[in-house]
Amino acid sequence: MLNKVILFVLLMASAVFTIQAQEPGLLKGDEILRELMWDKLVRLKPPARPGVGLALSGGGARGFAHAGVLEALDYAAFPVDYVSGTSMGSVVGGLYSSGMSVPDIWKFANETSTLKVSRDFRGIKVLSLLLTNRLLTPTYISQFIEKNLGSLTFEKLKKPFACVAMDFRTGEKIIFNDGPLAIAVRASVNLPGIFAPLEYRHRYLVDGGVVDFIPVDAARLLGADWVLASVTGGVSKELPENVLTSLLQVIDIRGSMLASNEEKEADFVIKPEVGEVKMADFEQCQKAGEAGLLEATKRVDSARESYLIFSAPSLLEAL
Amino acid sequence: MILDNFRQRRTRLLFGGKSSILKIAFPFLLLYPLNASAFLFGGVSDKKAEDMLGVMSVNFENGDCRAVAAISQDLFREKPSSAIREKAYSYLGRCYETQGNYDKAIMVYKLAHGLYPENDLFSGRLASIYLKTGFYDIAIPLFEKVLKGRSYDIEANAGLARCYAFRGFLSKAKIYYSRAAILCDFGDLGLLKEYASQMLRIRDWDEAGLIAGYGIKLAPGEAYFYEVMARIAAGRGDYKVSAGHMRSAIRRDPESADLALELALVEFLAGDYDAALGAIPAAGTRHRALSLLIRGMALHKKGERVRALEHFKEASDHGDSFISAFAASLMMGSH
Repeated sequence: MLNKVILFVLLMASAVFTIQAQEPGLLKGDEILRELMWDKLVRLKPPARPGVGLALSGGGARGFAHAGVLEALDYAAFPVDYVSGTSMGSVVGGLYSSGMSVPDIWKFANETSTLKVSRDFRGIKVLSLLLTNRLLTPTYISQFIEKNLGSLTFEKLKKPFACVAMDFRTGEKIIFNDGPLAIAVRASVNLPGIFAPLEYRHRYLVDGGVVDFIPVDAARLLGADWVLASVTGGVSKELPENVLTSLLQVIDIRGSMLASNEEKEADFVIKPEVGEVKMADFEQCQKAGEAGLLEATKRVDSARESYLIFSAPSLLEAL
Repeated sequence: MILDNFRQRRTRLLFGGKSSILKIAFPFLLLYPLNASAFLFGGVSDKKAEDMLGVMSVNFENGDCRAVAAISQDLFREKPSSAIREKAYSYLGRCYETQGNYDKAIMVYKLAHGLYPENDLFSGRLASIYLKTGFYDIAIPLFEKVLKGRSYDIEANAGLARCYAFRGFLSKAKIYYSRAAILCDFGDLGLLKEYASQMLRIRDWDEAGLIAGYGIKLAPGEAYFYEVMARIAAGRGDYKVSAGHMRSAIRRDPESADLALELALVEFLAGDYDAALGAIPAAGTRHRALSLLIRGMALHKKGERVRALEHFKEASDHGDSFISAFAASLMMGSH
């Protein structure tokens, strides 16, 4: 009986919400100001308006939630002037900064099973790691990055972009924003403990998510005045089954801990709930993308309002 | 006892073994008929059941849902044929639906959908309720099922469009809004309003303009589509044209303070600050903050900075809305 009552209340409450939301009303109050000022604001270019940075967090397969966030921003004509990314955020951010359209980025989420990226994780045999005492090279991930970003340099990108890795010897955070793109992105996704550190510019580089899960400061370094962070939220609640999943979960937990501090540095945070998608489960990229789109759709009007409030003085002067 | 067990086993199959759902579904288990062929007396009372179905139909048409529900219990006790049961479920489900008893309607439709999966009515009605109650991800495959069999179904096309729109898949939503609008020959005003507003959301000015054109033809006396045209022109940066459309909208709804303020803001963005000040409606409490803000911005651009600041301050003190925060930001920037 109690279940029935709860279901009834939920149904009625959601019905009321839905009816309100579905009413195709005219612009009212806040909406008038938001919509009209927004269209004016986004036609301006920095420095006439504050530069917008988009910081994309790490998160492995969950990072495809960023594709959904990008789609919602695209619909809202949200200006993105600078992009930064860590780990999977650097892959999505690199593709986006190269000028790839959001539907084309989505295609990767749809095709991840044929892209063989998961095989780099599935192929990890703990015993062979121990016996050979050697770390692996992520063949398919490298091929994917090389194929899509190999011909590019940071300087050739359509939008200024930065990605983050960590120097394995010193623990320093390394922000890349010049030179060849592919190797920097490859370094940013280079899972420590499994994949061998990548030697580049006299450094031994691993996944930037270990030191900087949400690269807000990298976006500011590029010139962003206002930063929107897309953060993959939630940690898998399942107990790890083996050494690999244990390691991934530790990295995941570490990332979440970093994120809780770093997201305070952002001006606005969109946090898709993708805890059900495991970090290495690239078959679930589509699901992660949908979660990103759903959350960003809910939050995008608030994000626009936040940016408008921040931009109000410069907008008034620019009119 | 054996019969009860059998019923429960079949019900578990229908409801996926979720105990909470079973508890809710329990009253319907009593209504749930077993295949007539399993009974010695099955089918003998179809004539009586048919008569009862006729009465049920009349009561349904008369909107007497209490009578429909009462007769349905008697009818199901008669163990009628599958065809009669199917019709009875549809009357009962729609009755619950019109009464707003969505939980009961869902139970009936789920049961009927399990028994008659080929009947699109049940999946369509289930999908519509899930849409109304916000369970879009459950509604989507049900609408898709309906459209597989009947691609011309307007309600299913519109329903699927709404589900996609709520989930953020606005490009997909556009496809189904378009189909629904074409199927009803652009004759459904509510659908056209919704379609146009979704196109404004994704700044598809061309598509929104096309729909607004149909809307104006269909309801020339309505302000709505002139406002849509104004939004399109403003989105394209043509504020003079936008102001013209806003004036057309206001002529159709002169009492609307929202429209008047929208015109004032459009005039301000067009750079005509006097026109903006003139368009602001007489001070009313509901729109006070926005009126103050627009007046302040126009005064600021006219060089009256001190008066502008006073307006920004008053607007910023007016509640905790986006407007007041925007005014506070202007105030900080003006110092």
